[in-house]
Amino acid sequence: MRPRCLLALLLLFLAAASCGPPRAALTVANGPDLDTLDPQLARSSAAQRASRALFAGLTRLDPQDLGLLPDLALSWTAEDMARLWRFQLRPDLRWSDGQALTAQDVVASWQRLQDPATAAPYASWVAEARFAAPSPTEVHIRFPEPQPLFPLLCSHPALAPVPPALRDSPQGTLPKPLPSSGPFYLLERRLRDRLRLLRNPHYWRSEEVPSKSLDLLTIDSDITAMNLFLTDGVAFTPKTPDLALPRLVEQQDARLHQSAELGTVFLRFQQRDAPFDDFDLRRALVWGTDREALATLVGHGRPAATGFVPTSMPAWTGPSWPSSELEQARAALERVRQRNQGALPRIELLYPSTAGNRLMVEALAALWKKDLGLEVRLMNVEARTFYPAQSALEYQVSLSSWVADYPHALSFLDIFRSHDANNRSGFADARYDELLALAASTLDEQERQQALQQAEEILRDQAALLPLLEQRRQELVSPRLGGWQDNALGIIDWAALEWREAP
Amino acid sequence: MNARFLRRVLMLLATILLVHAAAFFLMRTTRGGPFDEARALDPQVKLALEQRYGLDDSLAVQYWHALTGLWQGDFGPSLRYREVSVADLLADALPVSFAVGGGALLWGLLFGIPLGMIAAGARRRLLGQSATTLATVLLALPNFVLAGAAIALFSFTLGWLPPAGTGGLAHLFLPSLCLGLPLAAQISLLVRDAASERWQSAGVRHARALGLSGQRLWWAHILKPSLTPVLAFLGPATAAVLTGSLVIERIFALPGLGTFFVEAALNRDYTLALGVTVVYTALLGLATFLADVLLMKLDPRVEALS
Repeated sequence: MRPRCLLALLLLFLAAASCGPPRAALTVANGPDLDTLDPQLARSSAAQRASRALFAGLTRLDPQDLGLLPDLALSWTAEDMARLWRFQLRPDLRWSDGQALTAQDVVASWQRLQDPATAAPYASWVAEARFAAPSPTEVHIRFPEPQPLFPLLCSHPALAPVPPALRDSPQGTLPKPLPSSGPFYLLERRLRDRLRLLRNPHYWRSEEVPSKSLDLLTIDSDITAMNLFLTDGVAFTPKTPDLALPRLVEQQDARLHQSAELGTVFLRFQQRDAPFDDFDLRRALVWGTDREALATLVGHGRPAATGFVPTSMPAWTGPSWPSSELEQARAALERVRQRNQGALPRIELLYPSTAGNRLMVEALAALWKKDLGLEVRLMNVEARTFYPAQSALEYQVSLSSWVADYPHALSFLDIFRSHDANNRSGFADARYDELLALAASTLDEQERQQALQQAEEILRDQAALLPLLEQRRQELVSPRLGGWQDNALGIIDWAALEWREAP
Repeated sequence: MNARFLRRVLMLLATILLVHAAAFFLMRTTRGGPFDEARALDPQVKLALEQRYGLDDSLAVQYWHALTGLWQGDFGPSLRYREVSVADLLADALPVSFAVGGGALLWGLLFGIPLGMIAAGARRRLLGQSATTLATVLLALPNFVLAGAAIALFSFTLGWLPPAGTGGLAHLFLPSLCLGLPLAAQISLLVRDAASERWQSAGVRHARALGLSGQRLWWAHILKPSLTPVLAFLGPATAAVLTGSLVIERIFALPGLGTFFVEAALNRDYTLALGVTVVYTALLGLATFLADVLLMKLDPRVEALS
């Protein structure tokens, strides 16, 4: 091939790849690329953000206070001790392609969610339910046990109705076009680049949607997202780089929105085997860890956790956990030493390999060494090796975190039920399971709160885990972005967002 | 020539098969699977997913499926991007990587060859030594430092170019420059060494003694023969730059192929990892072959030797 031909070929590629879409009315960074556009399969926060822009649920959460609001459903009522829920849909609902969205769509969507072949991560929410659509605007769902929190779950994208085209398409495929029911519909998906969404004229409150088009950019690196934000390339980034935080905080930059997040960083103890089957050893760490010092050292704005369920959980007052009670911790360690022929066990702390995690565990190890005289071996493995090891209980102590699916303490405490797939610690307590079952089924909110508080007391008293830090949302939001509301679940009301002209 | 061509093609096919098998079995012997995540899936859900993607079959059956897929050019669905096939992912990513890599090659050749010639022609003067120093510095600088400095200068100080993203030629300028400058440094050092050697060779001394000088001497007797090592280097280098760079793609948020090399392995996206490995092997074989052909054209001794 002649050099001129090669040059022409290169220029052709350059020209082909340089063609990009015109700028959307609103462009935001959406973090790493979505694993799926199917709301029933979405798990990552990026996928759920996109799902909420595309698919409306029967209910939605108020981004201001996380209160429950009607969305596709006008109203709902419970019968038979919340075993039966009746939802009344809004009249004349339509998919973005103009087809009618009826109660039958809701029923078929929930049946699809329930079907094991769908492999939906939230299938258990409707696992044993039966559904009916007595009229085009009425949906009934019946559970064998009371489900008082079901309308809250309906605000999650997993329970949003999915269009017939998606329900009918073979597993693992996406129909083109993909009809939607939310404020926007999908115009184009450029893999690992962006989702281009357009305003859905058939959304029931489409008149309120100010942005004609919306780009959700795929950006893996927080620093790259911040670079784009600083040059007005995006109006919002979901995470601020740790390196930039101190300066932004010092300058009191109004673009940095720091707010509580319904998430906790904690340590799991593997309690099935030695050495952490020893209650005294667990208690020594729970009582003897200086969480305030840890937050100061490596918190990057995250406060010390005061319990497993974060304090920002709406309507929640949890039991207080001990911290820096060094006398009691040392006494407990002394008992461990006596049982181990005068020596303390060498602790191994397993963590998924990231720079932030490394700093965290190194600070912890230093604190334990200083305050308790404990030697810790830090073991880092990549994430896909870490999780199977954690599930198989092949560790002593492991670094973990949890973020709520919905704004309720149950979303946290549920994971320590004896047989929950996310338990991953060997913790099992019949009384704890009973309290969780009661909390899930009682209609009395006060009784539910009491049951959950008692459940967390069991976790504390048995030193089943060690809460470390409460998560914080650290988002960059442009002052030109109208309609923004900070909240602890990162819920974005896409229908309200607007990119305003510079003054 | 035809027999040699056929032999090269057969060798490339055998290499692809070997690399494919090695990648398949290495991936499967690594702990963890595509559905092991921070939030554990219900065991039934996990089983359903494994059945959907054939991961519950024996390793031999899975390898057979991968092999027949390779034969048909179908790597199957990605395990990370649930609704997307590996072929679609590659088809979307390759043009981006080719554009950035093509730009990087242009920068590499446009800067590298003149820089190498300057370093060789003025090697005892400050200009030549500066050219060599510049090449060494560019070679030593990590990509992310170069990219950070380029973004600070062109995007934040001058405000001429976007710091990241896609959408126009302006978006390709900085990534291709940052990928191309280390390439230019390597090319310049190769050209400098070869040209210096040529400058001291008997042939050039004879030509100069005969009164040959200027453009003809530099072009025909020094530059052209000095390009031989550059061409040999460009074979694998072209495959490397055309298949993207993880660092550059991350910093500039480009949806190219480079990210897949690491992420597919980290996500245990077996099908995608196999796809990118095969594409890279094929490109490497092709680029090396093309470089060899060009070498033979440029220097008939190479053909005689091979």
